[in-house]
Amino acid sequence: MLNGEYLSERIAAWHQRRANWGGALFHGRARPGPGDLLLMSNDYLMLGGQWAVVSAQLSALLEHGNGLMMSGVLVGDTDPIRDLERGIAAFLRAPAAMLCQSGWAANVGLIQSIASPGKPVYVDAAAHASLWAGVQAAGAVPVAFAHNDCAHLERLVARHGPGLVAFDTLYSVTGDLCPLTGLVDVAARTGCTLIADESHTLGVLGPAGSGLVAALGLTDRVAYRTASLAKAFAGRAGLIACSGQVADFLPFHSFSAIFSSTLLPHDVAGLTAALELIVDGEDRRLRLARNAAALRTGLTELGYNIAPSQSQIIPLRPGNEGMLCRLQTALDARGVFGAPFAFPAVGQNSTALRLSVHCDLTDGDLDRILGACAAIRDEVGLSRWKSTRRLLTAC
Amino acid sequence: MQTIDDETARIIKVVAAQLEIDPSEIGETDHLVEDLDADSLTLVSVLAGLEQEFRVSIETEQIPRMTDVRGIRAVIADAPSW
Repeated sequence: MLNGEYLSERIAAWHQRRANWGGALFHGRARPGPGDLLLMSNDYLMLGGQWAVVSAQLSALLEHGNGLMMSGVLVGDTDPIRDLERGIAAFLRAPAAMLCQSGWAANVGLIQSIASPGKPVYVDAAAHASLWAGVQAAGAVPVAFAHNDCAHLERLVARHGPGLVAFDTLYSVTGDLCPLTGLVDVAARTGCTLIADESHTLGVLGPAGSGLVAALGLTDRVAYRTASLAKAFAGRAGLIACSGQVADFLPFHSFSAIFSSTLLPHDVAGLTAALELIVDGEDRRLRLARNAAALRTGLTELGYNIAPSQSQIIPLRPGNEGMLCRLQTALDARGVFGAPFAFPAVGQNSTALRLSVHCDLTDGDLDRILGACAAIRDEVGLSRWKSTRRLLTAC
Repeated sequence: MQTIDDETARIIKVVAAQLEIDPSEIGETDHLVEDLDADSLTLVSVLAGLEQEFRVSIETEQIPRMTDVRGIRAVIADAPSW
């Protein structure tokens, strides 16, 4: 039973790994109580609980139940999902948009459908795992370029030839933006085609929250925009924005679309309502930006090295998994719940506790977060963190 | 005190910049991952930095050879110039 031995070894290694944490990290951590601050959610604009969203979902459930259990291939032209696709395309200033089950399905399905087998696809070394999985699914050749390094990308393209270039517009662990203008320039010089994953910028940046590509006026220079709508849209779906020709082709060639069921009616209804709130959400975006800036400044003043974050995603970087466990336990005990990131989401000793800021945090909430982070510095050994030592080296 | 040659010093400078540590913390036989806590993301940046510094082309397939400064020297010796 070779496979059995393989699996047994993997499970044993997993048990050993968890034992080394010295405490609960994912399972078994403290349960948040009323009044605790939840910073592990990507609902940046706090739309998931809005009555407009919830009532739209309830109405759809009451009217349609769970709808038809069928592949997205079979969705008709008059289905509400088509209206939402047109609405999202207009919102993004894109020719067309296709909705699918998740951000993972969007990236894997898109690249699997459009990448040429055996040809290079350039992927930022820090890009989301779904982009890498898409390259693998296509049988294309993944070529990693150094994170946010346009010069390295251009050298690689000179050696391997033009191809697709895939990257995140905002990186989900480090919170830094991509150098979009530089990437567009490299693509123009080299004949490459860009795929921008806007999961963490949709709703947050750009005119009416339409993302970084629109914010920089580059909608006609980025061929493909993808996103998980489980962030600011606070729903369950994925998105691909592209030309009308490709949008017509994808549902019948993307395995993620063909071999998954379509979105449920109440998912579509909730996302439709969320889109309206996002378009009218300037006040929420301003409050989000203000809260994120305040937390980044406060944490920096406390001695935390949060570089290179420039957004609502703020990582605390303790080092190994045992140190992450200690950090999470200390903050959980003070009612501040972040999201732990460990391998394979990050490198083996590059863990993070991600604090995702949202627009409804009050000044009192921010003071409480900073108070907790101040109180735990000795307990978690902040001065010994690799990220803190980097800060001292830079001084 | 052991002296290091110019090429080694340039390698250490690149590695230190990418790992954001002081060059004095890097020994020629220190393992980039096990001793210096480099991860796969950082190693790609080290590779890009070495290309820029030495004006050579290094493919990511060479990363497993870049275990320490000596390994990097060997990779650079084999790398084609721009």
